[in-house]
Amino acid sequence: MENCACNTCDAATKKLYEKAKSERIDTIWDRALAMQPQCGFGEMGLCCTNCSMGPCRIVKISEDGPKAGICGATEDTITSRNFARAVAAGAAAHSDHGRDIALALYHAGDKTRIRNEEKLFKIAGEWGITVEGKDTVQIAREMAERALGEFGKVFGKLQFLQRAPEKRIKLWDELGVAPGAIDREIVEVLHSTHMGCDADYRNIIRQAIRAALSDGWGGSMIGTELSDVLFGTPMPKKVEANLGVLKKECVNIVVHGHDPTLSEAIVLASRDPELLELARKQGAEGINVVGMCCTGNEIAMRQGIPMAGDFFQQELAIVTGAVEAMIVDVQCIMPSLATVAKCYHTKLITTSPKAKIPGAIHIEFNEQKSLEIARRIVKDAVMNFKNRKVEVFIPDDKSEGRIGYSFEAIIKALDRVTNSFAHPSGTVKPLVDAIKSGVLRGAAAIVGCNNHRQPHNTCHVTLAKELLKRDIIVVTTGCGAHACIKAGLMDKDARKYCGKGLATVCELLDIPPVLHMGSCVDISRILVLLSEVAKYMGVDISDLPVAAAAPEWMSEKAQSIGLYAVASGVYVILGVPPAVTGSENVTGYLTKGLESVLGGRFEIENDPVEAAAKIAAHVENRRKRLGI
Amino acid sequence: MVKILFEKDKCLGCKTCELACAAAHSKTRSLLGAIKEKKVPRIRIKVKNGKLRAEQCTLCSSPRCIEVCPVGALNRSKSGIIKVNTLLCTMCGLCQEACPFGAIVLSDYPTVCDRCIEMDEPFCAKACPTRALEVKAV
Repeated sequence: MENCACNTCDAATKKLYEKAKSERIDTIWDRALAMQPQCGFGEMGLCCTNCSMGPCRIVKISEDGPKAGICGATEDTITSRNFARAVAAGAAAHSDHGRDIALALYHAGDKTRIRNEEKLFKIAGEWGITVEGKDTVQIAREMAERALGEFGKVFGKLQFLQRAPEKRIKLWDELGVAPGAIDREIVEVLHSTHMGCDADYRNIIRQAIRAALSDGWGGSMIGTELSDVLFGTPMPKKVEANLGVLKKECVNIVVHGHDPTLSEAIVLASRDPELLELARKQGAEGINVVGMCCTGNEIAMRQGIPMAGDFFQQELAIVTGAVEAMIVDVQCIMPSLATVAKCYHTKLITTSPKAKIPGAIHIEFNEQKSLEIARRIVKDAVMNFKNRKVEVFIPDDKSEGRIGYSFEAIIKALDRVTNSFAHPSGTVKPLVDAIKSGVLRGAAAIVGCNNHRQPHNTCHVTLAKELLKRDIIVVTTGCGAHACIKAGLMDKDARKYCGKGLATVCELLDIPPVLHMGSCVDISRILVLLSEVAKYMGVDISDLPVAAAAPEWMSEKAQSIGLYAVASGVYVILGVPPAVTGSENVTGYLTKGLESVLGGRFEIENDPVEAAAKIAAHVENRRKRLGI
Repeated sequence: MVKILFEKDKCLGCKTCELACAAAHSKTRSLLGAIKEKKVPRIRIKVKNGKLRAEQCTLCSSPRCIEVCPVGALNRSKSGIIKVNTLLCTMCGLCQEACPFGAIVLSDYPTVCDRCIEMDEPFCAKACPTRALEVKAV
């Protein structure tokens, strides 16, 4: 085991891990190995550090160990509080991303910086913003103000909740989980999990659900929708993926993180003729911008920029020795990058006031001067080309796929098979027909991160293949999307993995069997799709033959996503157990109890083959219930 | 002799024993003191070949560390623990290599578990929240 820490199904990753090893550079796999054993108390969620009487740990393993914290908090209270705080942190990260996008829209100032008027008008209509007599910038500003209001409004509920099916909205109201203002829901979790507040694990989870819903149907959805307004709604396009997209002869710039405002500006700057000329003067053939993690997803979907790699590949990109600059903003950026970058010529550039890294160069980004700053950063990268130190090694592994399946793009694909004489176009009817007839058994979302507890990419890919075989269409986002495109599952060729029904659907619609729907905030696109299908069928989301899985998840954001999916009625399989296993009650509530309340629930299953079987069983069960 | 038995089924890998050990050997008997004085723990919870194990001197019957020391700096005391004569020790590290239990770490001089002989009970066992370390007098 010690000799082969890097457990992955991705060839490029393996090769670069070996290079890192030979150059004595520690990467995520080495650190994970050195961390063993990991503390069982933390793993089970049984350690409480919420007040300074602690840390308190519940000892279940021996009879005479403490069974309550110093304040008397039980294992149920402690695990549920820890879980709720993780959900709140996840909801905060997503939502704050959404807020930044809304601020960017507010400061857009110029019509040319709002690339998608159609969507602007659509959302304006939805939110009841009058457009008559106003110019685009004015409408955008009003919309941004309304969106920013969602974070702190005093009364009322989130506007995007109205997108859910009627039954769901009613259920949320009855249960008292319909979120009001995003910031407030997150604050309330922090308040109620403070020492000496809420001790009832069901009530704590109820509060966590409100925070999670304020992410999925709030912050994330604002992030996605307003990004579309600013930068365009993603439409299908071909891109290349994996570390093989780096080019030896070019200035390589990796943009990494989450917020598209930075990466879009970098892409624009990299096409500046002046900078291209400068690159040529430095001996490079051009400027090659590639994306990593969710930023990779964002600019691949909108600009066709190659997807360099997922969360676990960020250090390896630098290890190629071919990266002039890695430009990062927020979330999922390993602090280790600064150390790895020091071994090469790579400049690590942080840009967000919310995420500085010791050892990195900090060039603060701001939306008003975006292009100016982006030009400066790209210039720095270009001037760094001649400083390459070691021999460059770029693995030749890359694959191709069709990505960019936003909700709007899926509707457009469905319109291909809509008989426009008999039925209106622009609906989900063809999809519903395919599901009803059984050609498609159902749909599943594979989302989430990378985690050393699971073999890298293997779980995403195995699960996807197992589902395709069973005629279950797959949608994916985040690092799951990176895994799938690298494995060739977004290629036309991937039809060979499909059952007959799904293969036919893919052929008729001219789509790959695994649909790339975006970054992790874009899971809100999946919510919209589910919602539209449910509304069309006149049922609730929990009645649909659908499921979700996060086979390699690791972040707090993933816990928020998981919970808002469950609270929206989805059956969610987690490949890694959340830190609640120390309490049978809390674990039981999340994996069984919630279903009778919300129609969705968690399932913990680390084996992707088993997970696929469970999803298939769930899908068939829902089909039976629908009588289809 | 004081034996410390490690029940791996009870161990949760929290490493409280390691912290307690380092603290016990600091001047102020505190964690902060241990960090300041760069005290290393004389017990380490590790995963080797996928198995959990505690690296700690077992007070074995024929200590290899004593055998290999070229200057005779290591010897066994009456209570069974290994003592290091820091005047003789040249910090060569042969004892560390020789110990089959990985019990010795060179932190300037070799550090070996002394069973907290100056205290009433080994701190590691006292600190273990799951009672995975059991002290037995033999």
